[in-house]
Amino acid sequence: MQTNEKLITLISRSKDKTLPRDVRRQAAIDLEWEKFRIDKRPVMTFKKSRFYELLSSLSTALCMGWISVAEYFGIKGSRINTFIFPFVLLSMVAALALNTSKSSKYKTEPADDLARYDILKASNIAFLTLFSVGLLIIFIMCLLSGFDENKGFSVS
Amino acid sequence: MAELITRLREYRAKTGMKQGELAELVGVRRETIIRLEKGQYNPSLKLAMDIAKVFGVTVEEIFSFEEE
Repeated sequence: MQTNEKLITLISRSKDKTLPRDVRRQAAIDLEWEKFRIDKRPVMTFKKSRFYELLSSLSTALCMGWISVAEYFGIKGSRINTFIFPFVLLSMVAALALNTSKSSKYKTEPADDLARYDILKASNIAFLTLFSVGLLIIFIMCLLSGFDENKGFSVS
Repeated sequence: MAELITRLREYRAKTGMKQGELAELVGVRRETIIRLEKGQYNPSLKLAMDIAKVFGVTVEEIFSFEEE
């Protein structure tokens, strides 16, 4: 079967609502692998691609976080912010550009069962970390804002 | 409890096949093949059969259980 015909068949199978969900899901998986096989670009491993995405996400979070911190502590117009903020912004742009460049030059392997399991594990760890860090930030903000015994928590 | 023993690396070496090539043939990531060879991952029935089909052997010749 010609490659294009195979792709068309897989696409139609994956979208055919009359077929059972398992069959459609398998067709979608086969379609991803078929596209992977005919793609001539070199392969980037799943870990590497996630690393570049992590870099861009971290830099974006750093930039947004710095803006929030500068706003909260009132150092938006200060010399510190004027010095640091361009570097933070540049790092975010550089990381995004690097991620986009790598994504266009390399192909990544489609997810398989093990990768989906690892993603679930990583998501679980990420949520736990996010929850812990969130609690910690709230605690620190409460400490910094002050606690009035008569009035309770207040943000000054 | 029985431990899963895999002879995947031996069969791959016999045929001169790379991990990436085998992974592409059976429709999994190279990382999955690496973990299979290290014994860190138990393959699904379909994956085990696909791998056996690639080498032209039975599943038991590649994957077997041995009592600890």
